[in-house]
Amino acid sequence: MAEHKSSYLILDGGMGTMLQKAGIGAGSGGPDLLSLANPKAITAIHAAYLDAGADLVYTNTFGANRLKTAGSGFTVEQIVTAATRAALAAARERGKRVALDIGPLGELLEPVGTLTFEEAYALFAEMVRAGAAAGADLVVIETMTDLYEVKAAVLAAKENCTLPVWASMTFEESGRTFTGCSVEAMAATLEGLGVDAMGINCSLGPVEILPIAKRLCEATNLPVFVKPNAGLPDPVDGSYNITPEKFCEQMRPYLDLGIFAMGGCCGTTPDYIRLLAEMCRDKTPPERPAVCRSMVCTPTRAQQIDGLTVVGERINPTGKKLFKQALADGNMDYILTQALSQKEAGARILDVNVGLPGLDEPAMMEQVVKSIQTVCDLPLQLDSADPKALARGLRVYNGKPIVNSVNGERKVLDAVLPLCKKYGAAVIGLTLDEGGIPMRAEQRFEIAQRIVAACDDAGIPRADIYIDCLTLTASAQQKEVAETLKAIRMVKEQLGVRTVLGVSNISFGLPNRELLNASFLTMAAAAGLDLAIVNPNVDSMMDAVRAADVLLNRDKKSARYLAAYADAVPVKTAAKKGMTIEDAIYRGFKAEARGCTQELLLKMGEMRLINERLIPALDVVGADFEKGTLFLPQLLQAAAAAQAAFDVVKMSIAAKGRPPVSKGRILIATVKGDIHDIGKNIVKVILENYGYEIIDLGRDVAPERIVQTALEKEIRLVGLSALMTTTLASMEETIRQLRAAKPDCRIFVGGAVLTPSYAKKIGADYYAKDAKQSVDIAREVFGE
Amino acid sequence: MRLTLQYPLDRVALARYLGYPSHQPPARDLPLLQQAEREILKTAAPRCVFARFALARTEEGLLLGGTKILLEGEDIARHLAGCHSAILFAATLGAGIDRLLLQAQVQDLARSVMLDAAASVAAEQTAEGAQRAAEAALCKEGEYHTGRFSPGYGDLPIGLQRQLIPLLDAPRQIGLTVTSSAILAPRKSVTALIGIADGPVRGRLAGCDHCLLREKCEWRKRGMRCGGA
Repeated sequence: MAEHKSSYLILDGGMGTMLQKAGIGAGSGGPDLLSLANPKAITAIHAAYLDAGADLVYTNTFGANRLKTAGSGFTVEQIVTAATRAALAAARERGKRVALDIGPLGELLEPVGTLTFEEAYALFAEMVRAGAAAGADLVVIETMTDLYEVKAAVLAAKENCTLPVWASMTFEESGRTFTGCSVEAMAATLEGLGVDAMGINCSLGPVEILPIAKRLCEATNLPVFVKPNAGLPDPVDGSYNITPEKFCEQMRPYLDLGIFAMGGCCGTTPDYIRLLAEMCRDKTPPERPAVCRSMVCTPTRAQQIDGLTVVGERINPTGKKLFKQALADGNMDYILTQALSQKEAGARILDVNVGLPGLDEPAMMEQVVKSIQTVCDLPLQLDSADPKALARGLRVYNGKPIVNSVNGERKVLDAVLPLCKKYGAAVIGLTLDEGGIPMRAEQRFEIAQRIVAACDDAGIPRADIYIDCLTLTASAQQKEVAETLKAIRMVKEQLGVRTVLGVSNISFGLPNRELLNASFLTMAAAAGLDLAIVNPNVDSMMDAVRAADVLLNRDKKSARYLAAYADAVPVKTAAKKGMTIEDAIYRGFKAEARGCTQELLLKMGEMRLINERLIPALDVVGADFEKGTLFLPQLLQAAAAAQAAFDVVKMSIAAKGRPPVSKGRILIATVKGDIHDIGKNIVKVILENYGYEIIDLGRDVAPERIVQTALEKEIRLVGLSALMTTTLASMEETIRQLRAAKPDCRIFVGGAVLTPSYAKKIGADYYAKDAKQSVDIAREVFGE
Repeated sequence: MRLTLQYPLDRVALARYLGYPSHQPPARDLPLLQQAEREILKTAAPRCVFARFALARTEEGLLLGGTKILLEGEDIARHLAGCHSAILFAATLGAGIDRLLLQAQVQDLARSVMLDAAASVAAEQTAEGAQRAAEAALCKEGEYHTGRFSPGYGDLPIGLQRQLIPLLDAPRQIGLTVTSSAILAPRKSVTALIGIADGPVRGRLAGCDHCLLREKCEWRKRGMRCGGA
């Protein structure tokens, strides 16, 4: 849309408002069907906007997706084609353009809703193909509140047609959407995905949108457009009350922002657009200063990188037995716990590496990215040598990530940079190539130059490039330590890009590694390091980060440093003397449970400890819960303490290289369509406490997947939960399929709306009224 | 429309959700519970949307006037007996609560159960606030109204949510949607109907007759009722 630099592009106003005014739309099965029932009326509305001065009209297809139009008797293709033709009928003879309008699907994507990213993509793609075939000039995705949904729509548009793509989201006065997406996160993500213009529409009037539009203009170099409502709606009847004159007056400040197009949304009519067009006539949008920020983000967290920023390194199986086991088992909870504990410790970005021989890394990368973004709002750094794994992770990532990594090898650059460009990711470039790691700073700088040039060619901005000058070990290559620091300075000063280092390699082979790591980190920070890939759960690393921030004048008035240390008290001695493992579990004291277990392990073996101490302790807890003298939160605190004790036992077993304890393998899941899983999670923890191995398929799980897993993992007991009457049918279906495929499998069910008689009716073997009862069922099935 | 919530939440309701026998949480759990309440209040963004409809009693049954939406079941018919109109509202705590609960479940189940209970109480209180706001805006001088009645209550089908949410334009107005299995998303949300009449009406809450949980309800066993009664 570069042709509009010299003048404003005027967009149309509300379609729904005009339909209401004309007295059409109600009772006809929704406004989208009117394009078929009364195309002339739709064309007339478009014509009215164009005659008022609009240069572009949006088709009447806001809700014309398959979810919303199912049961209408018409296909999406029919509806979109009719609407596009109705708009073209007005636009072509006036020499104006038509945008295929795509609104939100009306259902929320996972994890808040149940729609998958892939389903959303398919729904949008269907609209795009129809609109493009019918002759639309561009695609506009509008009134969006969920960044993930916008990403699905943008990919659907870009992959299913060659038209320009615009996207606008709708914000509250806080500058966030209903789903929590900030305007900065939208800007970083959509600019990365390569939309042609982005904007803000609906929800608010010109006055309320103005500060948000300013923020958007400061966050992107792309053309920006706005379509505000005619003020705020009346809370009683929903009407919009500001006049066209008032609207126009309120739109005047937008002339200073450097936006390229404006129009109206709810409550606006051709009268509003006429005045808007008059106001903009002969005016030239001012140039905006170039934005040059290094950003990565999730919808709710935009992280600007400008100086030392901690990247958590722990989501990586290298050298970690439990992590490898978790990956092999598909145990997401272990990985999620790692993600959250790093966040709490101060990580700002998380590196995600799931490479393990024998594992389907692309599939695992996708699953892990989806899982982490469900519970953790930190931006991710996707770490893989396999372009397929990167592609899968990048596609489903919600926001703007970093790719770790490329290097100076041509074939790596050729394979990975196009992916970074397509999905809008920042990229890490390692200063090594076919010849290995060069020793001198100048040689590494030369590779950095090559990488930066390749990024320039691929269209990746300098602000999105992070060069890794590589840490060598001080024990083996002591004089090269200085070369790394020198290379950082050269790259920062001469290439205008950011830098990154994995720090802990420096100390390999030497004692007191923490001291060397922290010291090297401080030196690298002074040389200009931006991203430090470290273990944030090691206190000395975070200490070094906080100290460097003070010494480099980044932590103004030492505020963060003071907050961290001013009131620091010496660490308390954890284990209370004389507390037994039984007390610790009953009272839910995790540290004490851990301490007691460590002591007891020395006296008795793992199995005796489990059977003679831990399980009897849990039985007491369970019995008191049944009696009603101990309550659910306390039961769960006790379970967590027991879990801490079991973790100590597990590590002891793993350290001896023995197979993990399992009293039996149980598959649990919340059935298809249902997303209430707290009960299932409680059952899981309690069963794990008792030594059962749990395969948790999560929530909203299709019957086929449950059956397939039951067969693959030779499951003898399956637990299913459902909370809604509407999802009991999928529980029944799951049971039916399980019975047919694996008759020896026992099934227990639970959930708010279930009763013993209903459980029997749908063919379950057991009804579990609570987690305690599920243990009794497991004991019966597996024997004790 | 935005609503507000205040600390503390209804502790009696909270105690009931968590299965504490008395109206007060035990001292051991109180600090954690207070923390959960504050976290929920900090994260919640309570909002509501409402509209008024004439009630049409046709051969098919009870309809929301001007729509094809049928209010099925004996319980809602009893509740709206004597009413000529009804207010429909939807209220939600917003998607931030869902994210908080998902995260808590991974970290600490005891905390997550408390947060979940606190969020449920907050959603009830938000529904309370939505009801007051809707009545103030939409009830005329001299009109009387019933209490609120939600889909899934008694024999009013939960599947009705699929029709009520678009009717209120709730996705755009307050960010509230409904899944294909009729689950409200964000989760901590309520829709409800309030009857309006020209003379005094009390409405009849569903009672236990058609309740799915009547076989196993712990409150019923103790001679108590849900719905704050």
